[in-house]
Amino acid sequence: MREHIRGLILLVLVGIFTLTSWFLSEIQMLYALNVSIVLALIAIGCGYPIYVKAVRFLLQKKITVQLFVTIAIAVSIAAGYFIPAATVVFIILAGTTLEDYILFRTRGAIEKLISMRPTTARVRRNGKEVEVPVENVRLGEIVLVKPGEKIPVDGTVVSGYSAVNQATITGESMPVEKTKGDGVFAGTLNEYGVLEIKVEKIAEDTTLAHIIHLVEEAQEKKAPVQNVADRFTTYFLPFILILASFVYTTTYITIGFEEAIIRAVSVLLVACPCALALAVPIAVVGAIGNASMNGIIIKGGTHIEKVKDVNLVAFDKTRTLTIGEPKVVEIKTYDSHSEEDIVRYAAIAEKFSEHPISKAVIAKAIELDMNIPDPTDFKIIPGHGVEARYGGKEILIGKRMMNTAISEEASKAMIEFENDGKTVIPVILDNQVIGIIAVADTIRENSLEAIQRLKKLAIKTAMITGDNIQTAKSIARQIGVDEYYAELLPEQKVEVIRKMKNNHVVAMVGDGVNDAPALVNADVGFAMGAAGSDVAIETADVALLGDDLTKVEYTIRLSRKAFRKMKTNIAFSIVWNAIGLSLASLGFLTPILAAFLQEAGCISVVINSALLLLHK
Amino acid sequence: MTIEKIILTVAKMGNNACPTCATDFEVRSLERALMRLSGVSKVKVDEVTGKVRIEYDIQKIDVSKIIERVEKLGYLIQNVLRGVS
Repeated sequence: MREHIRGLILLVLVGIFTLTSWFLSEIQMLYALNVSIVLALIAIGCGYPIYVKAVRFLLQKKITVQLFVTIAIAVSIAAGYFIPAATVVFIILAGTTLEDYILFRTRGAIEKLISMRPTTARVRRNGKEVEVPVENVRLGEIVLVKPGEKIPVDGTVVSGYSAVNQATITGESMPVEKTKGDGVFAGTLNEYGVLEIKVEKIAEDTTLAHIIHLVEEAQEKKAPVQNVADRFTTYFLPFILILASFVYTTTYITIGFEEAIIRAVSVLLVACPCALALAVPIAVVGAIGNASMNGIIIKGGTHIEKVKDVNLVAFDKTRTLTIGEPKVVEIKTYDSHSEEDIVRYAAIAEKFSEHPISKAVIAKAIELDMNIPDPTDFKIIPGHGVEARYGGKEILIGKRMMNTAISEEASKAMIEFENDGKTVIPVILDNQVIGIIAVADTIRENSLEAIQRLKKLAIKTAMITGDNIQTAKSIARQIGVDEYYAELLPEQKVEVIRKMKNNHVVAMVGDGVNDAPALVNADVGFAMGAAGSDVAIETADVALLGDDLTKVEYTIRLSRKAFRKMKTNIAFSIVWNAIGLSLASLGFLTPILAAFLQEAGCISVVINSALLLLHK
Repeated sequence: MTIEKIILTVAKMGNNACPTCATDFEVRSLERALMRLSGVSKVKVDEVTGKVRIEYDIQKIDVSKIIERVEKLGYLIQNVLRGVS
């Protein structure tokens, strides 16, 4: 901020001096003209940062645009054009100040993340609460966070209950419930309820700090298209110097000294390689900044260029398109038993089993507000099911536990469930099948929308999974992916990705841990739900910090737009320079107009790119 | 608090052909990124010479962390001068 204020003060001074100088030059008064010249010279002097830099760069044998401006000003003074020179200085300073401010705002996205870091923490020490600077918090200490406060560290809740808004990290605006045992991130907002948190990561090690570092690094990484611009600018500056000398000489011969000076100075001032130099990096900074505000980390300009070309997105199934935890999805009952009966008997039998399917059944029982009594006798038969006794009755759970004849109705239901990719659990009470529970992995809420949005962009979608064909087929049908590949081992997933790459630019979306090889082999690897896992953030080209899959389409649209901006910016600056230089060489510009055109071109490019921040 | 000063010389500075506009696009972002490290109290970048002057508290941050950060931000370090006063 300090730099902006300094720039602004200089600008105002130059403005006042130039205006007064011009005013004095117009009135008939003793010494007015002399004072006017002195004021103009002071105004020109206020542009000193430009000249100082020009000379210093020149000493390093580098030609810069400041050198052009300096030469132009020096020539104008020598030729007696004081007020025009002062006006040029004013225009250039005004442009620079404005650009600086826009650039500052473009980087604002990350400033916003940083401001989320609390500076102090309330720690419990020797039975007392003390407020300490966050860098003095030690690992393993207990931190207290009151409602409305930001969480200062990464850690685990040891007591309390609250909802925490994690938008800073995951980009999701809905608060997440947190209670004992849940992990929390520094920089997220505790909405209500007091939380006591055991400190696990502090300062530079927190997820937020990690994200900030990654965004900073990504913004510095150039996009390949930048090379075109860089190569151009290397030749551009010497070319301008030659052009200016050429224009001066020819005009001097054909027209005369005065016109030659005006044209040469205009050429020097109108040249605007900056628009070209900035065309790409600002678009990169803007796009990455926008993404970071939405819980997406794009790892650099290169990836923006890659993502924009993606025309096939492959999703991993478990824990990406689906939640990854089996749930009870349907219950069939027989012999006048109620659904509650079925769940109750199943829950009693499975009460002490740790199997994921048992957990699904217990979860269903809890959801129905049931008390689950202990079974009197209980035995797990691995790979088959559970055998238990309760109230003098025998309960058998599992398909392979059936040794009785099964009704046609029940057997039909079982086949139907299995064809739908669900796991069937018959509940057998005293040798009678009293019901069937169907368990399945549930599809994530926005999987369907994510796929549909991609289709709107004419992008093909695929699902790859290690799961069996039935399950894969059923999920694929429900969410509408174009193709699916099932029963794959991790290395076979890589093979599938490689084949897809033969005729597509492939993005792979997964959790970044189990499917890391496939992610790395795809053209672009998206890791989702990456906030909790440093590994996932590291391996991915694009890390989705939350688990909103629609962000895949968002990233693709953003990248396409960013790349379009880079291209239009480059094209615009080339055309702008060509027109400006032609007009200046042919004498259609005054130096003031030339300086104005130069700054206008540059500002257009900067604003055009900075607008990426507002992309939705 | 024990403050130490260090000067890094980095390559790829001031390559922006138009510093009137791009003024300190790169320079400022490097300055800010380093200032955000806890323990770093002062950063001054000279884009003409590529010299980065840093003041930091040796009890709070190790110099290797600072150097690593500069490199990760995409700058090639050519020279490190420690214990400058």
